[in-house]
Amino acid sequence: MLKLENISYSYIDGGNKRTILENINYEFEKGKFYTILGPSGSGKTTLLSIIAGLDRPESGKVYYDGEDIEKIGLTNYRKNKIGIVFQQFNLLTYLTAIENIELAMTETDNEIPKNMREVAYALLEKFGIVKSKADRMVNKLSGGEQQRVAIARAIASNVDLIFADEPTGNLDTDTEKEIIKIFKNLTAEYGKTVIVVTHSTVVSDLSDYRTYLNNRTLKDI
Amino acid sequence: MNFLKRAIKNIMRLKTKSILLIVTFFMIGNLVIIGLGVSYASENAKTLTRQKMKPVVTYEVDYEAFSAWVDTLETDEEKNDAYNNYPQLKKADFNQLINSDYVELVNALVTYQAYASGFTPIINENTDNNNGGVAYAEADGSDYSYTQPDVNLIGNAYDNMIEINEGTYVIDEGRFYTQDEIDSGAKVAVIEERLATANNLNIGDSITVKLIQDNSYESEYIGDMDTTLEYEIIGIYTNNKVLSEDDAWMSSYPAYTPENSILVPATSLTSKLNEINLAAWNYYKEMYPDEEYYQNDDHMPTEDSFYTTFVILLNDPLNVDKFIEENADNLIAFTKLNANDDLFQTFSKPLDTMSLFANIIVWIVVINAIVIISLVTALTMKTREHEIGILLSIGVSKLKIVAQLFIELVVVAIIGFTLAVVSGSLVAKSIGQAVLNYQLTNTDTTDDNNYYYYNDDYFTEITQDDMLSEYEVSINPIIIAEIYILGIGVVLVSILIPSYMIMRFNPKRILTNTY
Repeated sequence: MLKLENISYSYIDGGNKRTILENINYEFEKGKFYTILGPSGSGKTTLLSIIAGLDRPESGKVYYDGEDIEKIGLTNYRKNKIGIVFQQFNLLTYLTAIENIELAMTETDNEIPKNMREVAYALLEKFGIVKSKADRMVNKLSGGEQQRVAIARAIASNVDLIFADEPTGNLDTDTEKEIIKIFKNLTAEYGKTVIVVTHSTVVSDLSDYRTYLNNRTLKDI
Repeated sequence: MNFLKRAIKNIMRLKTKSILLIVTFFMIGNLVIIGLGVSYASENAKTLTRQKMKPVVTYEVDYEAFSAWVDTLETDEEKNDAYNNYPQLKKADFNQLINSDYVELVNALVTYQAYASGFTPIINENTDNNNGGVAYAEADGSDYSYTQPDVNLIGNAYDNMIEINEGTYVIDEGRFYTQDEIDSGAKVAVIEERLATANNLNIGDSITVKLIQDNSYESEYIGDMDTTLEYEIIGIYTNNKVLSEDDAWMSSYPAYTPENSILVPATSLTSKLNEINLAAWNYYKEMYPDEEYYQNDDHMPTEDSFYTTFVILLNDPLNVDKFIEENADNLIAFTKLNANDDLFQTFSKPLDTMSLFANIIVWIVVINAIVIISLVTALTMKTREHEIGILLSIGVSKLKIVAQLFIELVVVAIIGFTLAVVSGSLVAKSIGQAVLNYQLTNTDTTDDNNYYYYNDDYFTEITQDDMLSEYEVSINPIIIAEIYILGIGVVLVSILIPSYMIMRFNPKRILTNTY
């Protein structure tokens, strides 16, 4: 589904070149739940940004279903192939929860049902956001609710690949468990591929594959 | 949810920001409207005044330029030489000026006051009886007499006249002379209806005039030259010219009386006048063998040099400046095209000053508006960079993001400007009038140049009050369109620059604020 080929990345820090990813090769299978673990500063978020098309590697390629994502076009790739969930939720605060979902649905070129609003309500309800809350401005919702909205937005555009960067980092333990369940369901119920960057062993324990990023390389553990 | 809906929701839900921006645009809009209103009113007053003026341009000697040039000459000899070569208006030079699409009609006139022969000119009751028959003796003992001429020959070099076009002369019977008759120097004439009636003259009759009176001092050099011209009457016209109060004195002199004006082809007159002048030239050449002027045949008169009045009627008053500009390089030295502009320019001084200041204000406001709106936008964008990062991360194109930001600002700008149009319309008029009053008390608009308008018959008399009465500040559709176009332009620029500054980075860097 997603193949990384010789991915390297470095940046200039205080005049010195610092390499954080070096010749990473890895393949993510369809319909599986992956977690990427690793110490702080190991480059987990950078790696996620590269495979999510938010940044470019210094060298190497990312293939989605065998096609170079640069050829797909990074904007097209983000719009039509993937969904991203951030630690900070990254929802548009001047929109309601339902409008945030509709935003993703209208932007994608993927097939979206005509009764978009009803589908969006149903999607949110599936993630525990009832209609009365769906119509609220997102910043009036709790952290857990906002993260559910963010996950719903990630899959609303009918994509198969979901990335999440520390999705439970800002949540309490109970909420964390609920969110993990949702991710787990995304693979089990919807057949999505989920790749989550996390520090949490609670999250990684529930994943199908656990990978570890250290010393610039990614390995299964 | 497309970018348009997002923009509208942003405006509606972030009310404080939207209201602040509307107030900003409202204030800027008011200043621009007042500035543009005053500027347009000034220009409009000038344009309307110009439109009321006849689109007439005269070809004249530029006396001022010539005098100024002579003053720069160092020796008396040089100055005398300059005066001997005084600039002369010639029809051939004039012809170079009239090949323009702006030209409607042309007068190139030769006028000559002559003597009726075999018919009686119209004599007014108040005619001075002492006008004729003054006898005097020359130093050498020869006796000459002088009699006031009693008819006025008006010759045009073209087959129509501005006066006919304007209705000052109305052809009642027959016709005006043709270009062929002009070119061949045909002796045909159009006489005034009252003169015709008084002398029982009809079309087909002939009328004779004498250019030089018998026993005048000119007979000394013309000898027994026949100076009579016999014309066939081909038309009868009514001269509607009414002498103004200033010209009332002319009615005492038959030659100045409109009824005694006879219209003839210019060439019929110039050929005879040239004959007379050549006789004079040869006479003086012989008399003053040491006078360099008379020995230089370049100074000999030609038929082309008898034209005294060159007038061009243009097709539109608004083309006057364009016509003069078009011909700037075609003028020979020390000649000019006069559109009665000196007076017009003097009267329009306060309006010009106002227009200048209004334009400066508009430009200052526009430049400030660009800076202020850009800063406001840049600050707003700073708070929205996270939003831009989010939109980019979910695959929204940069173009759509810019479009959203643009629409957000354009909508508030349109609201602000629309309110400004309403309030600006109310205040611009009183401010415009106050500024004009201030200008009038602080600008010297007296016409301190004693211009002598040789061809002032053709110009429309204007006063400063005429011009100021046309001054009215109102917010017209052009101003409204300008302010919206200007405002939208400013908004676009102020959106594009900060957008580019942010969006040149990738979404990760924007979201993590690491650029």
